[in-house]
Amino acid sequence: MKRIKATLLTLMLLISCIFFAGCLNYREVDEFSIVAGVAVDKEQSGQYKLTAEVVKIGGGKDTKTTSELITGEGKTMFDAARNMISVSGKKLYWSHAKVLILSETVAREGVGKILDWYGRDPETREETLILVSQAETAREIFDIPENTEDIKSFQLGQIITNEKSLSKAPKTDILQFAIDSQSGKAATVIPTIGLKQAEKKTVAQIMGVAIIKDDKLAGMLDGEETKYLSFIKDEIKGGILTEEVQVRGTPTRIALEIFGSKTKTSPVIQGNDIQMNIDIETTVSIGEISGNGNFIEEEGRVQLEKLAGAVLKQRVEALIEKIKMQYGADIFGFGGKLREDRVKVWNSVSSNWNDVFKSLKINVTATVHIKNSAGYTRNLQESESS
Amino acid sequence: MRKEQIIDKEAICLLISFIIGSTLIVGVSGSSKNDAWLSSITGFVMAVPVLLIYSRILTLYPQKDLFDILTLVIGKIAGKFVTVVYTLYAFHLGSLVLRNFGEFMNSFAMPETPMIIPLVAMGMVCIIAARLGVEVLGRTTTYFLPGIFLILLIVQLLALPQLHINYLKPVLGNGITPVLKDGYSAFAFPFAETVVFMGVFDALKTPKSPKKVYFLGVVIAAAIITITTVRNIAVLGNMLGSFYFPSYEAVSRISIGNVIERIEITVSFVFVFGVFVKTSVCMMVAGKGIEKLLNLKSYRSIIIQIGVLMILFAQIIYDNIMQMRLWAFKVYPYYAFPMQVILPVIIWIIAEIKNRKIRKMYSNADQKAEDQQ
Repeated sequence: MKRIKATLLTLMLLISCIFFAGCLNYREVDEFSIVAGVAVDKEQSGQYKLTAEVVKIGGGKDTKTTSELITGEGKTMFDAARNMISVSGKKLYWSHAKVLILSETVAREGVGKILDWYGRDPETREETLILVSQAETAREIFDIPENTEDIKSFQLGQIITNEKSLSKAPKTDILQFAIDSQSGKAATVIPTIGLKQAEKKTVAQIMGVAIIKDDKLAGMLDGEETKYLSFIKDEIKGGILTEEVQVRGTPTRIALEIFGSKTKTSPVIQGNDIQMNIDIETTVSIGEISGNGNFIEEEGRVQLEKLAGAVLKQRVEALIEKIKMQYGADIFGFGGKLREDRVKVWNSVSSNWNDVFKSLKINVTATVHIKNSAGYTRNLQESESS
Repeated sequence: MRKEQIIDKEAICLLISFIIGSTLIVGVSGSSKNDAWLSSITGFVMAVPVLLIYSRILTLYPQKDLFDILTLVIGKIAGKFVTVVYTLYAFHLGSLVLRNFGEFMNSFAMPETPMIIPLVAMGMVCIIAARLGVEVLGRTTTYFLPGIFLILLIVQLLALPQLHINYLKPVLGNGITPVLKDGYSAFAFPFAETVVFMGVFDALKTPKSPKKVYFLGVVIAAAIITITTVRNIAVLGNMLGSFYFPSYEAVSRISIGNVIERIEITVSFVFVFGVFVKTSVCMMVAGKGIEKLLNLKSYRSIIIQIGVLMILFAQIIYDNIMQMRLWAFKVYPYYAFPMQVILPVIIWIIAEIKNRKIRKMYSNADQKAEDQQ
């Protein structure tokens, strides 16, 4: 009896091993298309047009990964995404998507409503980077003829990641955007992507940011301005500061490589008056001296540090002034800072923060510290004796 | 039959897994926003008095479970009535936890699989565990819990680069009211749910230990929940309240050098383990309640039926996940209040009075005996 029982049990286990080992709805890799990136456009008819760049794995001896474009139209993002099945024949797999490119028209209408599906769906991922296209449509970015074998979306993702040693475009993903756009009355920024002609070829370039105010695109900043924006937001990881110094009547250009930067933003409250203090402390090295002048010796170096600090301060102030005048959008996150540090004051001004922001007094101090001059001990254009 | 026994360590491990189980994944109620971690501490502080009451009742009647105590304290008929209440509560609580698990599987892991499949899979394991008894469950938990702690610790460390501590500021920016409200919600779910353990702690080996067990278990669990909540806030910021399963989202942000990423499955692991312990304990207590109610020899003869009913109940308990959230954070604290606070307080007061009487009687008798000598 006991033996029969044991045999039957073993048999049952074996049978269930065979029948229940797989997943209920498992999918083979050849049954779905992997989306690498997606571009969102809006048609005249009011329909969203989604273009997905899909990874195509070629067979044969040396496997080549190329990409193809699939387009779907629909009343909403999700609708359009699902309509792509009618073109591709396969279900699209969104978890590996690296970038989400919005066309300017779409961004002007509202960013949040586009991103809702993308953040909500369990298959799509919040790490997907957002870009705003400066070209006519977002699809064009994917349309440029291939110059590498890479998949364009992955390449774009790489550009953004490595852009941290340039500091001309921030890294904004879906979750970050959602957090920023909900904190206080802050406006947010999304890096922009444009097309650039280079030696008969068209290449995509990521530089600058789009200002999103009240969920809508309000304007764009170029790469240089973005760098100073990053200074204010304390997001500088690298980059170059260029200075122009007059030496004996001729200009000398100097490039300073940023090694680290720390910005302290602190609200100062005096009665009803709110001020913001911004203290920037940057460590640089002299990366390039193209021209005359001795900037290695103490005298020249201190002068250069002072000059660089003054220039930085002036440019940061100019950017703040421009944003205040042109857009009135708090992309610096001053409101959030005020809320974090002085919540009572924030509660009293939050209802008309945009007006307060426009008249906010901002004191900038910038210190630049030169830590080395890379590999050379002197300026080669100067003769050693002088 | 030999009486089951668990040592303090096992009991503490059971308590910890019971508490962190579903709370780690569902999170603390979100209306206090970035002060949610304060609400979990507040919830714990609120729970201290009732924990004292639970352990006092258990100390007054060592080696007796909740249902025995009920009969002893408030008589047979009233005792039976309250037994029904607690049996239903344990049954309901187990179903709620199972359903939490089902919803999680349904919205993240396997959206296209019917919910009954994860429910049955989990329910069957729980039935087996409940049938084997508290001793086995306690030992299993003691073996697994260090692993769970290790996972929590590693994930916590890996999440460090994603933390934005400034998301925690301003502390008490919205005033203290939302914190207290959420604190009460955290009190009811999960801290005061430990009232269910009164049904199994008759198995405690040392009669003096309920207080120690309750406190160590709940303190450790509260610390874990608070730390996890701090992490979730520091990663998700003001989006915390927008997610059904914040821990899952927060951990999915972890990415170390493009190599260590997508480790949110670890969260599911912790969650599954917690759900297993919680449901098993509830099932066991519901079974014991019925055992005492119908004077059965052992609850083991009916545990399968209870388990199946629980699974089916979990299937029909809510229409959708929105109801689940509304119930867990808004309705449940009021629904559970009688079982978690009112009844224990009444039992405690009567028990104290009765005990005092008995003690007086004994001391009088001693006095007389001395006098006679």
